[in-house]
Amino acid sequence: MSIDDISVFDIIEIMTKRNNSLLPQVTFSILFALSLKPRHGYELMQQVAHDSNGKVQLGPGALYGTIKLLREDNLIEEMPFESDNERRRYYRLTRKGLNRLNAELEYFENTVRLAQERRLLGSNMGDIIWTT
Amino acid sequence: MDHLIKRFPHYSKLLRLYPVAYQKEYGEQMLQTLADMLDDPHEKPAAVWARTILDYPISIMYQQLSYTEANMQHNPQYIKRTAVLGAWLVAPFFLFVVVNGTNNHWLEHSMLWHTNFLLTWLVLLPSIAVILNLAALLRWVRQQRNTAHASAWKALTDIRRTWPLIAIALIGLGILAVIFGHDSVHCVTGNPIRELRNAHQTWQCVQRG
Repeated sequence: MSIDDISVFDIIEIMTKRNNSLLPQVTFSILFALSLKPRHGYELMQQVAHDSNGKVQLGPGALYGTIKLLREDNLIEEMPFESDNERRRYYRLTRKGLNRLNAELEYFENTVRLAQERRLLGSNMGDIIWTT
Repeated sequence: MDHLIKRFPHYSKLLRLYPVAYQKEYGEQMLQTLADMLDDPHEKPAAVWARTILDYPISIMYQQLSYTEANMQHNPQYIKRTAVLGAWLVAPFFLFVVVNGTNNHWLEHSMLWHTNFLLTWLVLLPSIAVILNLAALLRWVRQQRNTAHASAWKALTDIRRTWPLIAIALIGLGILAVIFGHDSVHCVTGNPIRELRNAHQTWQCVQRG
């Protein structure tokens, strides 16, 4: 493949491709919310808000946009579920989704450990001496 | 579904602006989720609506872009390449017009304003862009007629696939129309920033020709 074979559209495609190194906040929150049990849309919203102490409040557009991406990446799947309302669809983590979530949590665990070592967490922040 | 549409008539109309495939897959669930949010006694209806309305424009833009990008990936290479080539061919017109306008008509005293060069970037390059893009459009129509047995009109109006070609062809034709349709190129190329600010005067100048 030479440089002539690359069009502007290919460059746009590469630039807009989702970065798989770290999950965006909302994506992570939804995977995390599904780690307990399968949930439908509104349950997911509530769990995400609860897990983030109310900091992540999703609207229907953001929620289903993210669900669509997660399903395309095969990280979650729709599942049959006995429910009082047949319009509610339930989603659960796939094996790949669980692995992805574990990888993400390991990263955060390592980051928190480093932050503790560097006394960056909570009240320890006051101990930092800023130097120029 | 019907009772949800009756309950949220305006929101369900707004959902129609999402790409069709997305509407089919998630439209009903979005309505159901909104109903769940409003039925929850712990939620304040005003806050629910505020969250939903604020979320809507960003979400719709993202979905439209995402579906357009997905469609572009399925486009034949010749459509992408011709559109990119066409964009490069019409780019000098816009570049020189802006440079001329922001640099005290610097171009008018340069080689680029000599008749041959002027004809090249004002007429020749946009004409080539139009011809190439229309040719690619015709190729697409023929291909669709032969392979998918689609009518010429249906193939031509398959905007999801053909929009880059149509857009570049229209831009090229627009440039040529300004130059040939009216002898008014000076109205647009003199100082584009001032002329945009005084759109009414510019339009009068174009009409006078």
